Amino acid sequence: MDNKGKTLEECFDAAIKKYGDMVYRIAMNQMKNGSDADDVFQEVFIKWLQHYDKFQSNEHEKAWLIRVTINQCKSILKSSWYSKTDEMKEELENTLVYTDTVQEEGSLSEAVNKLPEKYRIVIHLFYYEELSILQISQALNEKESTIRTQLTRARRKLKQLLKGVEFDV
Amino acid sequence: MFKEDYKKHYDEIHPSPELVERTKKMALERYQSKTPETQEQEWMEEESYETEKMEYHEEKVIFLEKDKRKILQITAGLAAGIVLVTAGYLFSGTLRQQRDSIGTVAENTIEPTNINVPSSTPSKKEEAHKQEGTKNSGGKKKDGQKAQKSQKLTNALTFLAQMGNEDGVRLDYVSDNLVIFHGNFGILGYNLSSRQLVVQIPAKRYQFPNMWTLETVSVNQEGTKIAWYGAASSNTELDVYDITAGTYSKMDSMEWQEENQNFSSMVSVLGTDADVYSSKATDMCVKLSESRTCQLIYQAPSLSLQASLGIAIVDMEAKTEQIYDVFGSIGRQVAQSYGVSYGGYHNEHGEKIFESKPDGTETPEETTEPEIEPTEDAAATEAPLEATPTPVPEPTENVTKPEVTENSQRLTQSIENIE
Repeated sequence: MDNKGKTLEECFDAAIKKYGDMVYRIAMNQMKNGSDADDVFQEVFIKWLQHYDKFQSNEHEKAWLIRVTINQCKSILKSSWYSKTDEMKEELENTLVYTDTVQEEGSLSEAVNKLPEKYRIVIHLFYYEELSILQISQALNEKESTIRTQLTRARRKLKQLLKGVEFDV
Repeated sequence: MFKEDYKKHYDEIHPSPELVERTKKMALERYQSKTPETQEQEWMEEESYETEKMEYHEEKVIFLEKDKRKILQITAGLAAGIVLVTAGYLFSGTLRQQRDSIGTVAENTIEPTNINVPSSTPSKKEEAHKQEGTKNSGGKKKDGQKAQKSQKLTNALTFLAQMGNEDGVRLDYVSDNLVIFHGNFGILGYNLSSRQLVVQIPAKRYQFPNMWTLETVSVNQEGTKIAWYGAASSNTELDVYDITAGTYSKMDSMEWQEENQNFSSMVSVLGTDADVYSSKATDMCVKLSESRTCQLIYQAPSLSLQASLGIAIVDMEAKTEQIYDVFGSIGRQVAQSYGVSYGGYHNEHGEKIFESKPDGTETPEETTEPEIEPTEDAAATEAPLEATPTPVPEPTENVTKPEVTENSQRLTQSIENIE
């Protein structure tokens, strides 16, 4: 980690430049809305600043950020306030006509958002961040076999959801 | 094809410049609010630690806002007087730690005073009676049980010790009596009344797939059953542990949801009055009532700090708190049985119980830096609420007088300077 000679602000700017998009995208992937993703983003980088001088390598820093981002998302998702509002949202969704498959092209994000959180993050890290199964397993503290299974199941679910749309998952 | 479309979709997502600016401002403010007085604080900690310790013993620890810390400096002079009294108290406290460390397994020795709980610390007579009983009848059996229990805890502690800050420990359930939490080490349940670990489900044995995720563990409303997805479980099947019966079973996840309303009252403490440990704790807490919260205080091991895990019950209205140490006096056993490089754990007063010596022997430390700093309010020093000092325990025969350490010398010197 080469932070020598840099001011705190410069270090922070460099980290935002390097990892800001990644953190925000993971937050969006998990939270599914901008305002919650904003909160996660803030918390993660506040925490980052408290640890910025402790990272041994860029890989360590990246893995840490991925992990903390996901943890932060889960904390919010698990909070009582969120679970209550989520219940309301679910009730609302139940009253609407539910379509089993995503019919329109361009609603890829909608299909991905329908996946459970654990599948969404695996899909995102694999396809977007282009991490290997091993790297994902390290970042998520899971066994490689678990990640492989989750990825297969996520693909299978996506195939079902994207029926009729030409996506080669 | 999917990959390209997926990438295209996410390529368009960026944090707004306003968000980045706001985050930067907040992060720097938060960072700077902790650092500018570091040197002064260090000095203050050395000087006022004895006072803090006394307040700990009174169990009337008050949490405060950071901007009031400066007032502490003014009260340092006043504190110096109290330090003199504390010096004697300290010595007896050290002796007590030493005594407790000999035979205690996962029990705290100092009970919180503002909660009506029976002390789990046996008196000298009881201890003697116990020892006699063990010698006379069924001693081996008891020893075996104790060893087994100790082994389980050792495993859990070893996992705890290997954890990093980012791994975290998660609260799963809290009632007035029971706190259940999990980490990479497995699931543990701590009884606040008896101050003992009453549930121990080691991760390795039951193959938890991913202990740090919050959704992995769920506890029913009554706190009698714990469920999780084990490695052998399918997506629809859960492993369930019945706390009262002490049995394991498997259950369909739908069935679990129908039968048991999951406990979920986790709230974030960030920005609230209960946010007193944000740097050393999980930022989630459980509300026991409108004003009382339960939070885990976790210190990952590092070069300079020992691993520790405590439970804090914070009363925001009364501005008091109670700290229960989950892993305290058994640090020595861990160090001995596993040869773990760090020497031990902290007790609920933030005192390091053991320190590794180069020759491998371990002796109790007389004074150490407090790891948990709940008292930051000047009001705590100025007017302690319902202060009831804990009776000073008598030293046992086994313990030897500890040597005068550098810290205590410095302390004496500083008292002389103030005088």
